Amino acid sequence: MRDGYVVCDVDALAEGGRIITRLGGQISVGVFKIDGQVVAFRNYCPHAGAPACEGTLGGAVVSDGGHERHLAHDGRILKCPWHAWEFLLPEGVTITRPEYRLMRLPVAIEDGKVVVGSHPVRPPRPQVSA
Amino acid sequence: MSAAPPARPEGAVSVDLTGLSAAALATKTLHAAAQGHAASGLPVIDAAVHPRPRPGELHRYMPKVWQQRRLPAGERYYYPNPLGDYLKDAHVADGPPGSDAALTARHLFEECGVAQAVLAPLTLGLLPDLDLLAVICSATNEWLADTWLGPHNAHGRFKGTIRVAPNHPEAAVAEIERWAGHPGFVQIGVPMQSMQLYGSRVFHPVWEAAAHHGLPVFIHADAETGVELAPTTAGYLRHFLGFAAYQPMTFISHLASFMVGGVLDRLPRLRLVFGDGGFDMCAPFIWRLDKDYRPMRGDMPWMMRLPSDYIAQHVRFIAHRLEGPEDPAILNEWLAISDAAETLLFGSNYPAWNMLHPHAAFAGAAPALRRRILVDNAAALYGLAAAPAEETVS
Repeated sequence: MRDGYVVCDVDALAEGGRIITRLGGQISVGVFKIDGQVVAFRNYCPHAGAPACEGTLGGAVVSDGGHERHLAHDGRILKCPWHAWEFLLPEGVTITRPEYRLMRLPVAIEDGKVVVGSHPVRPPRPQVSA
Repeated sequence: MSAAPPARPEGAVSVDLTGLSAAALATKTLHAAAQGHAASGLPVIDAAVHPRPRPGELHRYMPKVWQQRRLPAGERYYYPNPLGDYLKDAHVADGPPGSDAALTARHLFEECGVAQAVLAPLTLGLLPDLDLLAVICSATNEWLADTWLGPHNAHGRFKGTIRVAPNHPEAAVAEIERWAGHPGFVQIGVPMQSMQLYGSRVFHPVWEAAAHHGLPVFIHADAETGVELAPTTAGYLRHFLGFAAYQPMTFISHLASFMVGGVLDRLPRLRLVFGDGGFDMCAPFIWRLDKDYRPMRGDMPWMMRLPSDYIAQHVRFIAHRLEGPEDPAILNEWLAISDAAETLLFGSNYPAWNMLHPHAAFAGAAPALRRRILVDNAAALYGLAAAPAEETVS
């Protein structure tokens, strides 16, 4: 990848794990391994600029429309530490308004290394169901 | 043996402890309510008019077993309004204000430029006897259909409200089913006062029936003669002014309850009409709910949208007096901030003392916005055709 930054060895990132680092010593990013996929985001919440990638990873409490509740997307919900916005990984979208998303960065695996680019990618909006 | 009470002197006049009669206190006239404004020229839809039966009239529509039951007087006995409760012109000799259909029609259609009026009778407050309140609601609906929506409605300009007792869900649903097919009824009506907030699960069958029939739910302060909770969460304000100013907060509480209870998610067709103020308090309260919705969302997972996302689809407020700034320089800005173009309906509250005259209603608003509030929003909500202005303005 041109203009990419080597973040870590690919083996250093376990399933469900993350690395918070700065690209070139400047741009704070979070690199996650979710469902075997390595994804990277700017460590910046679209709501109020919080270091969202440093939040807890867990599940979301959802309902089927009745009065029951259950846990969904366990291990894939990143909760921002400031205001608890919930981002579904690996997509990086909020579960209540998918148009609000973390800024996703390109990732490549090159020679056993995780390489992250600094220019955001804009994937098509995924359909998120509760 | 106790002594017999002293005989009452012949010709003695009893003392009226309530002081002056409401009719004598009333000072505001229909003319004064117009505040010098000319007719709007719009085919106004008045979404809040309150007719009342004449004395004894309601009993005729109650089952015989209930006809001997004494009913509350129908007027709030605490916080007496120092100005009386009704317009001076609305007092008539043979019944309470709002009981004369011909006079009401003349006031609204001939003198106020109203094209169509949605009638919302009140039902004596939240009565502790659930069965009695259900019977009163049922009788009120039959009376309205038989009179104001019957022979008094040759002009076809009156629309009606199906009154139900929400704390008796079975009776309420039965009443909705009974009248939903009647072409004169355009909504159901429930009291603002309640022992539980309306997002509570116990009320769900009522809202479900309303949504099923596409009937908006009109919520309005209801006579205050029944049992009810204190008007504030810290007890009783001392005077009528505080009571009247604070009362619309109850609508905001119900609105929040509908949202967090998941009612609006489960019933996409449900429309709520807060009929007695509160619009001016809604926007700041929604901002507050929005701010903390996300971190709290997991507590009520059935609520899948930001609070502000529900308003345009589900919620309407009736402005029966000008709520918000009176300064025309900032009126339109306020109406834009609060999304009045989508959510505000005009309702006069006739024959109440604080009637908002359509000539004066939002006279300083931009013309297109004023038309939405006075005509289009109600026409869309109730499925009414907006009559041409020249046919309706006298």
